Amino acid sequence: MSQAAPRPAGFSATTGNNPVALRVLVVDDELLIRWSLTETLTAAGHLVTEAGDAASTRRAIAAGHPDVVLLDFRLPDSDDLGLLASIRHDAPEAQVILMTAFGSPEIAQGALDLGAYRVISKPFGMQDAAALVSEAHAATL
Amino acid sequence: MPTSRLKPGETRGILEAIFQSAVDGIIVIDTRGRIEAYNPAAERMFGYTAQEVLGQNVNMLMPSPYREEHDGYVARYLGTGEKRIIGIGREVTGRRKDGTTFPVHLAVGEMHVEGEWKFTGILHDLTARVRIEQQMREQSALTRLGEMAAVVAHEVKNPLAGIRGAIQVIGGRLPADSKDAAIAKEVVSRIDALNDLMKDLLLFARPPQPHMSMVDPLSLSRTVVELMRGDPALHTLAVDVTGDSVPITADGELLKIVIQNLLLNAAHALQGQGRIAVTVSAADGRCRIDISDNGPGIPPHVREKLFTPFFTTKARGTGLGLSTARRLLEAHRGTIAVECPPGGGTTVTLELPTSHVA
Repeated sequence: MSQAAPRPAGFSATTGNNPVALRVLVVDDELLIRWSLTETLTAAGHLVTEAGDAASTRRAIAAGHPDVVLLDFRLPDSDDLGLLASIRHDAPEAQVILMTAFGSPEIAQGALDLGAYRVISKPFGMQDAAALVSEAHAATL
Repeated sequence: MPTSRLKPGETRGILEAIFQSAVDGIIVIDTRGRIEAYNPAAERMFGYTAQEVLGQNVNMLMPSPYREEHDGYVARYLGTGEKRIIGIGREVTGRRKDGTTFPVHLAVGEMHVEGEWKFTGILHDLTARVRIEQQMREQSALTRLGEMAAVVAHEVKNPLAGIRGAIQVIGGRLPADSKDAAIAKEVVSRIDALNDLMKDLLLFARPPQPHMSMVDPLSLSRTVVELMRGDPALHTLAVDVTGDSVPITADGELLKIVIQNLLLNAAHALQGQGRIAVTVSAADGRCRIDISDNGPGIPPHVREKLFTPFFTTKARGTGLGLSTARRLLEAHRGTIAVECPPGGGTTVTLELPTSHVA
């Protein structure tokens, strides 16, 4: 059904079908990024919710803890790691993948120190993102 | 009124000594512009000896158009008494014996000697100050560029990432063999090229602060070559790393980026066939890294543009521009140069201070 994703450098992707339907929260202020991630992850069998800013993200977390969060670093109402910290606090079992456009080693290290599973820089391939979501969840098992 | 506490006989000697020893140039001319006195500082400044200028018109020390106009300036002053520079002084341009020009501050005083008017010019070389001002302007321009780059990066990269993702998804829904699907792939590819350009812009505008540590360029080069083993560009090429371990103080990650991109440049030139040799050596207390390929070489008219920011001969920019590489090397107090030796091919040479240098 789904073809094996190619293995680009930097991602140790699991290949093949992933039968586990995960609850994924996609957070990005860029509509096209939310759309393409939602389409890709839904096609992979997951249940996807979206949020476009920090306030909506907090509401979404409160409404139900996701398994994996794809979190954009810079949002209209958040430009630091505070949102990541509160997600880690409110939903500690959720794996958070931080997405950034501007790679700063300090931010990346800060995110990892707060317990983010991975920090990835944009742009990334859609299949890579899907594979990473599966990998992040598998790491909790 | 006496301006000196010396006796008349002594004054002459002291004044002569002042003339000879002054750091600024002193030139005296008559009303026809002919040079009557010209001190050693002026000799050093202009490159002409006193013998070469005494009796000549002072406009020989000026570039056009001032050269042609100077006689007119003197005549106008004598005719109108209008002081444009007399007693005032301003920045002018001097012309040396070798033809080069330079900025100089000229202050002119007038005197009446033995019934005749004469003019004394005191010349202060401004070359160093002008260069420093230029550097400061460039530096502040670069700072502004850095600030702008961060904003541009965010405002451009995010939409680009969104466009890329969306096209990838839509393209994936088109019939696999269709022209449309191929076009969608090409769209993604062009976006990646734009993104590389953004990366280059950012790296150029805001070179990351190097985190220095002890680095061995030989083993670092080997690591880079190993990391790039899977890269299709290097796949069919012979890549050798040889030389000595010359420890340097450098940011290993930045140096890796530079070497990786130089290898990619060489690989592109070779188009799948040939060899790249990386050689590390010590020379004159510096570490030298040569990256040579036996490709077609670079024509001179392209070579002179290589370090121009964002200059690329490739249809899609990949890897770092050489101007960015140079910025990174300069952050290490190092240098980068490109040569096409007579034997053919291209050699890029990096030089960095070794750790032994105090």
